[in-house]
Amino acid sequence: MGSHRVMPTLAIMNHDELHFRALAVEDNPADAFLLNEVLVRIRDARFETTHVERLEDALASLAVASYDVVLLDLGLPDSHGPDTVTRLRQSQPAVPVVVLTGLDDEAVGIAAMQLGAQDYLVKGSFTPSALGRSIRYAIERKRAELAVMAQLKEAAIVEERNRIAGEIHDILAQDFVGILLQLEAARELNGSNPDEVARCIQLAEAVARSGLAEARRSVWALCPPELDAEGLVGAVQSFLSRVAVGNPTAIGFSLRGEPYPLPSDKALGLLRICQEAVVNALRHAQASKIRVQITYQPSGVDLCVHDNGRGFDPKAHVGGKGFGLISMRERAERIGARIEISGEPGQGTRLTVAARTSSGAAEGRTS
Amino acid sequence: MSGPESIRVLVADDHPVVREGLSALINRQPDMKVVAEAGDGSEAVEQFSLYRPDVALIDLRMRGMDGLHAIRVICRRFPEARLVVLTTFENNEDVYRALKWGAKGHVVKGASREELLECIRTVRAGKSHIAPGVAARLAEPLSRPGLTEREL
Repeated sequence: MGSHRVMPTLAIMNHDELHFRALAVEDNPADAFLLNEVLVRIRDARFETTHVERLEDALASLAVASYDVVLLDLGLPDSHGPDTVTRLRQSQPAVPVVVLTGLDDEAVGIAAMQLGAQDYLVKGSFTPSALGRSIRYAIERKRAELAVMAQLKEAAIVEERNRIAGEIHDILAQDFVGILLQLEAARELNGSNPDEVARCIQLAEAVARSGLAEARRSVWALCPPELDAEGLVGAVQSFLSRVAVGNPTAIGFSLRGEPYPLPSDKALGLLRICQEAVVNALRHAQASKIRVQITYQPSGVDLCVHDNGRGFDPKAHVGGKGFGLISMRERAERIGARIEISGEPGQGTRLTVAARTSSGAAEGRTS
Repeated sequence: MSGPESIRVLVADDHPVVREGLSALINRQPDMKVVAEAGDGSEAVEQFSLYRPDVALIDLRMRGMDGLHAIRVICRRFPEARLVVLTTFENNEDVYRALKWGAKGHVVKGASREELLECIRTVRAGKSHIAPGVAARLAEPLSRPGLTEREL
């Protein structure tokens, strides 16, 4: 590995000083030297700096040690440009990043911030106090961002928990009560009226069966087992083959590009949108053909559901039937995807969802 | 089976099998008869006004107008109404509300049928049928801090 540790400055420990662990990712030895010179001259802060030259080494370092901040050059042997920030974020979303750009690369610095870096500095132009300020700012901003994300996550968990509790209450518990009442009735009748006893048992069976189906549906809705086992493409295909059974509508599937693993929330979001779109086409559009296409590109995944049904009248979807549309939009929003639904009465409906895999941009703006 | 003295009961529950099961259970008793059924809160209010049953069993949680709302409306219109609250779980804040507003009894669904029948008879006789734990809680203020006040 092309990494070596720059010795921490052996200053006499001053207890008022803040102590930071920094990871400098810089392949140019002169720039690395200059950076260290500036770091050691920052007042009221002591830096223990680890220096690496490649992004791969930086990721390896971050995986085993914790750093307060990463000082990141964007022109590395194994990664170039703002994409470097994205790769770093994907692997280590919690670490603050200050990007170091060349003199004429202000635009790159801004792009890096949009992708999730907390700040950028132009090389050779910053003073120790500017660097110190930028690092502290980056750390605080990251902390605030993580706190907001933690709150959002907590809120989403509470909401989901309430929904599940509601489902158990309204469906499963009521089914059990129904079964209990029928069985008690059968016991009470005690053979005195065999027809009535048989009817009670039959009813209890029917309720148990529908409760079981409902429980399966709920569990499946929470975490479709296919999504883990087969990825998005497999899960979509098994969904399509399930709905195709006994259905006269021709449902086609095509895949473009090479599938790669997606974050589970994105995969689940796309699967749900696909299911809703297909079910809408089957139930409401009276389509005879539905085509589902998934396209994997380096920048993201596109999902397209196209049918030849009676089309989509925006006015007709304001009321009850619009629920599916709203829910698809919400899902798309939650995974940071762009959704477009087009169609006219009689012209079929086309829904496209574009989910970017570089999630940094959307999240970086939350704080 | 039911004589002129039998207790006339209204059953309100939105789960058809539960509703039917409760009605069948009650109708098997020599001293009771289900005179009306309802699948949601507004139906419960309607059927209560129409039949004026001796006792009404009302599920708290129903689609549309829920049971809590129905209990409030019925108790306002018919202060002498004898209502029994049905819930799925024992510890339900809305039960306290329903009892404060005038419901006379509370039974958890899935309780023994003896308990349910005894509750109907007790409430019919003008007495309350409330589990001791629930009764103790009733003495406390209606809403604890942190609980959301339900808009009615």
